[in-house]
Amino acid sequence: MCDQQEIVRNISDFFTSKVMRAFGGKVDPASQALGIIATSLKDIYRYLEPSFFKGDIFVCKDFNDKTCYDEAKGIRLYDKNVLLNYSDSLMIIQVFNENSRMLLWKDQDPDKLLKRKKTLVYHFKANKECFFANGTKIDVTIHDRGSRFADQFINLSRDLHEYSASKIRKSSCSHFFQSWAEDDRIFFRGGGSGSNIPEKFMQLSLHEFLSSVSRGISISPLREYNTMGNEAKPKPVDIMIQWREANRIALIEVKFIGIVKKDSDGSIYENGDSRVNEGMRQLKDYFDRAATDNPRTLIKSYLVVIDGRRNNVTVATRTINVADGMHYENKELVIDEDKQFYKTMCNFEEPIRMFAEPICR
Amino acid sequence: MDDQVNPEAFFDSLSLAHKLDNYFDGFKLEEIHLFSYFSSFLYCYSGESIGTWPHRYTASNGFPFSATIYTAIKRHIQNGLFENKEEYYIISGRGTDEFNKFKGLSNFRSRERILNAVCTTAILVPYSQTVRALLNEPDLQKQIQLENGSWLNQMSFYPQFKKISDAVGIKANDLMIPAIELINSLSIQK
Repeated sequence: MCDQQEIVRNISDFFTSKVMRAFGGKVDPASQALGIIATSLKDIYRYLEPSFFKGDIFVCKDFNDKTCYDEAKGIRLYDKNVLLNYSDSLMIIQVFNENSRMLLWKDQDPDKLLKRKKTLVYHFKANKECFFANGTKIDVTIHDRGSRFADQFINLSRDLHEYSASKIRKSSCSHFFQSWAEDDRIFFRGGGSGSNIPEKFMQLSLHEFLSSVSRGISISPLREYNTMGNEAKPKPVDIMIQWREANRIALIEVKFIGIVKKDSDGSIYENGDSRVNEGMRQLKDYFDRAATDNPRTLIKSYLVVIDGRRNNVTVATRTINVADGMHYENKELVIDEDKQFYKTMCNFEEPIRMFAEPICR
Repeated sequence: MDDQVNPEAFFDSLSLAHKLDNYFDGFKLEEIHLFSYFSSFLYCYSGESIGTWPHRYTASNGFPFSATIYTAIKRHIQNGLFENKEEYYIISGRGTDEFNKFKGLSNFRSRERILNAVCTTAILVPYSQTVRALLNEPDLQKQIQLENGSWLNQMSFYPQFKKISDAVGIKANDLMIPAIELINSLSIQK
């Protein structure tokens, strides 16, 4: 339990307190400006993904709603889709008490803004965000990428990690549990060509989880597996998410690695890193296709890798000890250099490995 | 014959739904109760007596629950102001029109100030942290453990919070700052 002094210290260190202190006696206009900037950012970032953005964004609020630059040189911002046109430039947006009013300038000097006394200024650049309050810079960055005011992709990433911990780690999801050949979770089930087993249980599990936890999204229905092997018809990505009120799409491809025991004859085969690399290549194709079809939509691609690798396993293995069962718990995936798109493209997330434990005897 | 819904419950639930949907792309019905409960603390902070706050709460499934808010929500769903979208609800176009119609009425203006502050707080403090902090409120926690359906004592944490807020020393008429202080107090005091 924290003592009162510590609580007071923590609250005083929170950025909103710092903003208020920076403006001295003008707490109420500063607080109002902060609220208006925050709600405006929520709105602006529906159209613009900060983690994709290469330029500078300034959002300012003058306490008395005096325009910060010559209004004639600015653009009255009513269709915010135009923000996508300036993904690598300088943008200064002024917001007003009248919530719907926004003015955009592209070629003004931001230093002039920072010198204004009764103006609160927000700045985002290269995944860092801060407020300028009466000459004081107050850092508000909490995420490695993106902004605290744009949480669509951040929340999806968080939900995927939560899924890994709560559903995959101990095979707690009943759909996912059906992926295993036996109760000890050593081998995945192999249903044979065209059956999409075990993948279909993994896709169903993730689909159900995301449908229940994620806000404001529509998830594509699970595809009918291409049992006829129609090569002419390209396979769609496993899961596609669209935000209802934000200009964003997420593509999720699910792969698994580990040992598969065939239902038909009990023989085994292994899926390893090559399967993951194949997944990355596929995901890049899906991304390219989706980007062509939706050139004005912000798209992010995720590879989910269910990791059921076990050590020292043969076709005769019935039980597994801790050393062999957990051998791969912390062994990372090996991705070929030419498929590490997440290092060069903001539209790709690093593959999310979800280790699934066996029952160890 | 249906009785008329409590007017404050009608407005509060509509206003909270409008903001939660607008900022966070949908809402769960229990979140309306939770943010209404949050609002009652700010009502006290603004100098009013908790005795005149129109809603009382019990603990239900880990969340505060108000019967008046529940009745209003049921009516909004029935009238098409709230729409069910899988696990979440959204406010319909009609719901937004209805909210815009009522928010200008003088008897709801002071309530809107409070409801606006609690929802804006959930943008400035990450939403999940805001919800966790509110669910961590000591009296709610106590009643969840007791499971006896007693009223939540909306004033038990308030004196401690007021002392903390005074010690931080930011004097504001605007309610967003105390709302943030309240959430931070609840987050830290665990």
